[in-house]
Amino acid sequence: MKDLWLNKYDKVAGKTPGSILEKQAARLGEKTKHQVEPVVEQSRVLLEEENSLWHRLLLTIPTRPMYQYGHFTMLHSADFYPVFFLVDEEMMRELQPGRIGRHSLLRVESEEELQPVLQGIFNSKETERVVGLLQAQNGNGSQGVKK
Amino acid sequence: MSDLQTNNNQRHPLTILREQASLLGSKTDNVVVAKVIEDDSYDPPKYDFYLIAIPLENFHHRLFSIQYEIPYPVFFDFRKEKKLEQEIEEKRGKWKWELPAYSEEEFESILYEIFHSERIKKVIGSLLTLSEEFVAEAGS
Repeated sequence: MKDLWLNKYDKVAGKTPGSILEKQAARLGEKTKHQVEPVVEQSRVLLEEENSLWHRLLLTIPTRPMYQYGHFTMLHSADFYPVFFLVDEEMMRELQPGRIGRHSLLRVESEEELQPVLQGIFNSKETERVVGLLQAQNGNGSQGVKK
Repeated sequence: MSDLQTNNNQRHPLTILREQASLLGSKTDNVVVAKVIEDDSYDPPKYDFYLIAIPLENFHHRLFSIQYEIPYPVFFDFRKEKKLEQEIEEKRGKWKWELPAYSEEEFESILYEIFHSERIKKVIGSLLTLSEEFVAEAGS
């Protein structure tokens, strides 16, 4: 049998969108002194006959495992980019105030674009509102997230 | 693996494709493997060639599909992998609709170009990186 493949295939260098999200999410936990802990769930999903990787950011209260909030979802294919964010409309209005119509899908083309988009999400009023609500559930009042 | 032979001793494209699929795992520590999946909703049937990342919950990435008339020509369809199509086109020139291979030799030559392409190196490399990260996070 002929072997038509290369002898070896190497991992690609560079940060994956998932690892960038994990790092940014961890910072949110630190800023709330871990009263609200972000958890990134990941899995694969079938999207238009092809697989995509799915990363869902949950905001949780460590002392109350029953409380969790699905904040947004990030999707990409075997290519790291483009990345697609599924966010709620309120968040989208904050991220792209000039955008006309109702949208909840945000496309990001590169690592350079991903960092500021994640910063925009984590520093948004919507994130502050949700974190405040979760902190209130924790019995600490609505303190929001320290920026 | 049964080896389908054709009348003029050319090996059957499906046999060759399945053999090649069976070889990838040994080059990636079985993290990324290849598989041929038959789609019999077409006549003649279509055979889809997938890369599968085992640790990523069997994440499937379709590279190309083939259809053939017994046994040659074989027609390659890269509809789901435009970047791969572009790279092969740069080497072979543009084709109309689907890329044909009129013999076993030509079929193997196209497979060789696909498996040595920059695009395949990138896709397999990405799947290896993502798989490693996925396993590390699942274990943490």
